[in-house]
Amino acid sequence: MILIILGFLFLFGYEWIYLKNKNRKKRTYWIVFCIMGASFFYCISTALFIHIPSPVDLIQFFFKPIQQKMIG
Amino acid sequence: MEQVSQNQLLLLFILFTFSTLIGFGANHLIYTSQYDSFLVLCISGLAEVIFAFFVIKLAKRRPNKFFAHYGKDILPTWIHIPVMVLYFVSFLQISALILREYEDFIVQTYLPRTPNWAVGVMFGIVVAVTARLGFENLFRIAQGLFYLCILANIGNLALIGKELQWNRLMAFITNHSGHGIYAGSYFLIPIFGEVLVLLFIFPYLTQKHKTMKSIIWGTIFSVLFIGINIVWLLLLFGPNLTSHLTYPMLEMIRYVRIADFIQNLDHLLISIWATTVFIKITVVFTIAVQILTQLLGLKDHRPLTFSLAAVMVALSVNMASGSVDITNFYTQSWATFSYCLEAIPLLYLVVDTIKQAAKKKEHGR
Repeated sequence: MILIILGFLFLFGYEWIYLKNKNRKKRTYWIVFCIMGASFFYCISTALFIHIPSPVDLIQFFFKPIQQKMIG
Repeated sequence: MEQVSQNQLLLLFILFTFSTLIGFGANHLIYTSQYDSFLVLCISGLAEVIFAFFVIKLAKRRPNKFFAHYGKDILPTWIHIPVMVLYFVSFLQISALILREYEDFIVQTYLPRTPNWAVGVMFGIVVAVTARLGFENLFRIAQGLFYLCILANIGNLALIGKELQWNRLMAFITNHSGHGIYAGSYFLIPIFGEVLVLLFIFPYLTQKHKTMKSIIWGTIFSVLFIGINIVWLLLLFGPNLTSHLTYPMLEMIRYVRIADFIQNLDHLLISIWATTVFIKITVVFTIAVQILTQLLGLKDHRPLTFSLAAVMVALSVNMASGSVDITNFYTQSWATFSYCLEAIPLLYLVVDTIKQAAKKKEHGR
């Protein structure tokens, strides 16, 4: 948990400097940091809760019966 | 625009198919198809070429534009955007899946009691840094590593030669099963169908008219390299033992002994093979990052790489409780899901062809 927070703090600083050096628009800052925020919350939630649904569960739910029928 | 030569494309595609199929898919392929595995490989290679023909046909109509951009001209935006989001999530999921397989492999064989996330974070950082460098550098890395990987593989096959049970060769002619060929092809064609990535990297290519030729040669060499390894596995262990080994290639490499004093070469050869896995994960991950960048209308994909790499690592750790779950997913539903994913460009091609025909008719009037 602490490692995730430290990692993302470093990432925030690194990307901030990168965007500033490249003179990016305000919109780019918003997009980059919103995605970083979403990524942070996903990483934290996977560390806190082990059984978070993942795309694998969804794919298994929809496609397992079809594949069973196809292969037999 | 970055420039990727046809030679680089050819070499990358050989590594792309070779890496995971040999490392993680060999046991399942041999389990379903037994001595028909080589035949299944040829069928899948043929399917790849046919599929690539349609993908290239679609990409050639707007050779310098990205699929995420021109897809809106073919299908309505309200369909195209969800499709691109689906591709983004799927590519991220595929990279996470391969990363997870690699994590399990490393933890089970070389780093016992190391948590998966530790391996994932180390690998994820390397993938993110390489993805940040862009496709041109990635293809150059693949070009450099190709010769090393293929030399190591050929050396391995040559050194294992004396251990093979050559009398099993007869089974390749006598033992056939229709259901085995069908089930094996059903599982293997989507793996070769990953040539779909071509649609997303097409604007980067030089000499675009030669792409089909590169794919055909890439497929022939892939089938040949993978086929020889599969045949060697069958001749060394037989189909029953191979299908019950988690990593049959690793076991085969462990058989290599040079003059009774050089042993345990597996560390060296596995480290070389691991670079091919790294290339595959990075290609798929970079495509996911680029799709998101193009959807959001950003100039540069670089600021998104580390954030998305973190998601990829978290996804890889979270997607299953153990390697059994991953194997179940891989064998029970992955192929069907991939078929759906790979059929989407065909839908775009059909709609685009109908639209173009209608336009021509209008102009004719």
